[in-house]
Amino acid sequence: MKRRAFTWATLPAILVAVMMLSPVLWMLLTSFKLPPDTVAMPPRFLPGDMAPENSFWFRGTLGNYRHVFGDGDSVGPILNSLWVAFWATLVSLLTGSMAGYALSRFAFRGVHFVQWLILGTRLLPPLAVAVPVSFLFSRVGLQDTRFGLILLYSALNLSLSTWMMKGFFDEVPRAFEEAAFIDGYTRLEAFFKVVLPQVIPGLTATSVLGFLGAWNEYAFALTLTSIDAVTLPVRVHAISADSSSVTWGPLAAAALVSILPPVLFTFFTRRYLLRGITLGTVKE
Amino acid sequence: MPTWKLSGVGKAFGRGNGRVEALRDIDLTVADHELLIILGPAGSGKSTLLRLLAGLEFADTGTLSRDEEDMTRLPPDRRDIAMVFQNFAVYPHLTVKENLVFPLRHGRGGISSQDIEKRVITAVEMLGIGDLLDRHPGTLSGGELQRVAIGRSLVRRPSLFLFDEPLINLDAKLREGLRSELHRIQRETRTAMVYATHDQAEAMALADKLAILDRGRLLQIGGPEMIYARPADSRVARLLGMPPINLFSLEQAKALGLPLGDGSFAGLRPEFLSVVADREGSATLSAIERLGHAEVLVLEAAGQILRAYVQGHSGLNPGERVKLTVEPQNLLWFKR
Amino acid sequence: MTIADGNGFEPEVAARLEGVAKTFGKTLALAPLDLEIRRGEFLTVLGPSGCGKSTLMRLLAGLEFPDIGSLWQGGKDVTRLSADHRDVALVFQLFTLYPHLTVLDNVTFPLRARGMAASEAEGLALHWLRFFEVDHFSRLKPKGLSQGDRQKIAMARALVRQAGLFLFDEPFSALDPGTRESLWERVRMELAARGATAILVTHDQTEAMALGDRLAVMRRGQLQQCDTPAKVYERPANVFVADFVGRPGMNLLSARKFGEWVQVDELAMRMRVSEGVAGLLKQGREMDHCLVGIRPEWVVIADGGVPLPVEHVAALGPANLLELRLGNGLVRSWLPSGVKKNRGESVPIQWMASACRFFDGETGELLSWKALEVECLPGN
Repeated sequence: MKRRAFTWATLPAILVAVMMLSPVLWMLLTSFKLPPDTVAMPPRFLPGDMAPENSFWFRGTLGNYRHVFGDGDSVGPILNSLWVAFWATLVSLLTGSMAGYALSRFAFRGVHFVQWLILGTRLLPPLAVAVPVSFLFSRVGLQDTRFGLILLYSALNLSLSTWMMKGFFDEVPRAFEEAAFIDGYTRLEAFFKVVLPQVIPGLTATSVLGFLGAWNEYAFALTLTSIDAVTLPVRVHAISADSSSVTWGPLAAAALVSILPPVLFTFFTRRYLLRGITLGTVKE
Repeated sequence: MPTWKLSGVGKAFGRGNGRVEALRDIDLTVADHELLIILGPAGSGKSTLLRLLAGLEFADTGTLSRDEEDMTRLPPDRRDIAMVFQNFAVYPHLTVKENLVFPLRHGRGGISSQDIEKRVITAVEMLGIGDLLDRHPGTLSGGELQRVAIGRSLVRRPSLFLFDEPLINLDAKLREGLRSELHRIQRETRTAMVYATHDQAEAMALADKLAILDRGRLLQIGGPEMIYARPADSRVARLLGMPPINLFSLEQAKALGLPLGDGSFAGLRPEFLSVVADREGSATLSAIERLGHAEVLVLEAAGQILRAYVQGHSGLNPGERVKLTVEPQNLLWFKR
Repeated sequence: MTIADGNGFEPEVAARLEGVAKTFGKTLALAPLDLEIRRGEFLTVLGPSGCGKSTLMRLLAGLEFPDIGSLWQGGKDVTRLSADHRDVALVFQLFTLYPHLTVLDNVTFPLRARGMAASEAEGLALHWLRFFEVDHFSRLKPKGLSQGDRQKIAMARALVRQAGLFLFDEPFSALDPGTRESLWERVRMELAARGATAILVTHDQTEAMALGDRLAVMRRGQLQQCDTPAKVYERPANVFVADFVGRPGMNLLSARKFGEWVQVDELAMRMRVSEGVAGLLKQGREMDHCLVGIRPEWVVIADGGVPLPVEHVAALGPANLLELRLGNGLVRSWLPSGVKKNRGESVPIQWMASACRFFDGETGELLSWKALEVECLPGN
């Protein structure tokens, strides 16, 4: 394979990439700095032990990480977040797929209405229902439980899952299931054996977005959790609110840890995201 | 092997103003061993007819029966049929071999593993796809994919094959090659087959029995040569034959000096129009299409364009004046 | 044969490809290709899917650039020129009509883009829409129009312009053969009147043979033969062309050469051949396995011939095609009208020496051998 020739068009792309990644880079460096270095001007971006005044060097330290995770208070939230995000993604993926499939395949009266209704829920600012949900949760005993969060996040993500998966199912020709019916498979069997494998990129994309949504969610987590079910975003904020001034170092460390799982998840599933949508067998 | 029968079948889609009658009053029989071709232009209802036979749709009126057994409302898996779709429907996530085994594995069939193996081998041999077994459909060409799709229907050993324009997405040469293979397969398996197409050459070449479908109605059913020689009306006449039949209204026929008959339209097959060079002739040869083994002569006479079909070489040149002769018994007259 | 003047401008040549090749990822779409397109000619490019014909068009249009080789148009090197700078008009299968413009605006678009006044452009556009009988759609937007009508409009859009090269990639694919035929007749006349150069890509070889001044046959990225349709039909360069061109293709029978006789496998028929110039020079290897090619129209039913069983009679309307079984394959012959044969019947066939073509058993290339006589052997 020959090397792609350089064109001037790649410059803006590089520029955008640099712009997007520089905050992350800043976070990475800051998480290893001591408090004075974090706010020093000009910014110090070279790690090392030579730290004469007013230079670009800073002393690397793991103190921030120890501060955040050392006392063990942050381990719980990390595990909570992982647990909740995992289950919420799975549930909304499964139910969303089935709903999306139904909307794609079944032409019942009012199907368009249902579709737009589902989409409409996304127009609602989640905060608008914060109070009723909180009330409901405490009445039913779901306040400060991981199960409650899972339920809520699944519901919040469902509209997105359904819409995305419906789009992917629309791309799968009906002939695939019909051939299976003729062979003797039930619709459910056909769904799992024949249709679902065709939308793996869709499932991956939907689960990545679902995971991100659940992982990053802050507002409801803040309202609905207090001790047991505290998730990472809440904990990170708590850390920064800990002292009178902003402690950039520990904040950066906590933030860096919180972006790690989604990044890893997306990185390891990237091959499934890119796999061709129709693998060339459908001639339209 | 059973005989399938459709009686008075009708099917409509949509409601109110959007209601479309896809099929009306269909009476059709497919006998054991028969290759029935449904020929019709796009939108004539061919697919709907096939899907009704398959059980993917159910008729609004009429009955579908197999050897007297009523199958009108039976779901597809209980009908003992196999279908090959236009877009192949070969599963991309399975290898070719897995695709061939898939129809037999649904758990309710009760077919033993040895039996499955045997059937797959027979199908593979019949279609010559032995070296494709471990490949994935994404790497196969159109012709190969179509063979796999046919293979999948073969392993089921059904009592009826349904083919919905299976060759339409292949290019011309490949179509012809697969066509004769299909014919051979149908004969070797001795199973009834219903095949839908809009390509009249394909229909003529393959059919034992031909059914002409237009806008949901069956216009004529019979052997291809019979329909070609004695079409029921001008629409049917126009659908079969390349180059298409020369059609004239009463006035046009009179203008050409044709012997008149009983009907409002006259039809003349191009092979029955004799053309000879004649400087006093009333017609001019405007163009010649050389097909290799034959020629199509495009003629102008009395302000109309006619086509004649001549085997071999006519020895004529464009621009020449010619004389046209017609034997009265070769003129077809239609009411419509 | 081209005559170039001092500036390299060759009046006879509209476009030229020299050693042009193109790869997409790991697939070789076009192997190094040399092709000359003469001014005023209508060249048809024929081949199965994946043969590279669409890639060829895109290279000529400037939508893709060759990996190696150079492209010349009107005497200038246009290899690196993008489509908007080339003097080409395109009508591709996936005709792109702008959905937000009316039909009329769509057709005037290329003219207005080049600075023509609105009234003049509209007049020209309407003329061409009328030519294709779609002028009553002028004020409508393309949405809702049938594929066939859209293709006609796309063609009108191409013809409003004067262009050095017209490129058509199966532009009438959505229309039935009858309409296509009549449309091409008229478009050809128009192009000829303008002295315009055009290239048509198709997989329908009846169309390719009927329309082209010259026919280029392609397969798997390689040019097989480029010549007038008659020559391609009469003397195909290899077995692929022999089989591909012609409906149905040439009968290709496996045969063996013994001395100066070529004996067809499993058939009691042999031909005495002279190897021509190659034989005189006795170059190359001794060939024993070869293929004998005879077009179906040259296989005749004759009483003294060799009998073969009828496998199938395809009723193709005006004429019937007889398919006879020979070993594992078929021999095809055109039945004279009125003659009826049934499956299983034995039909004696024969052919003339002049009808035979010989192809190398290994490479499939056409050999310069000539059959001098045909002999039917006695026996079963």
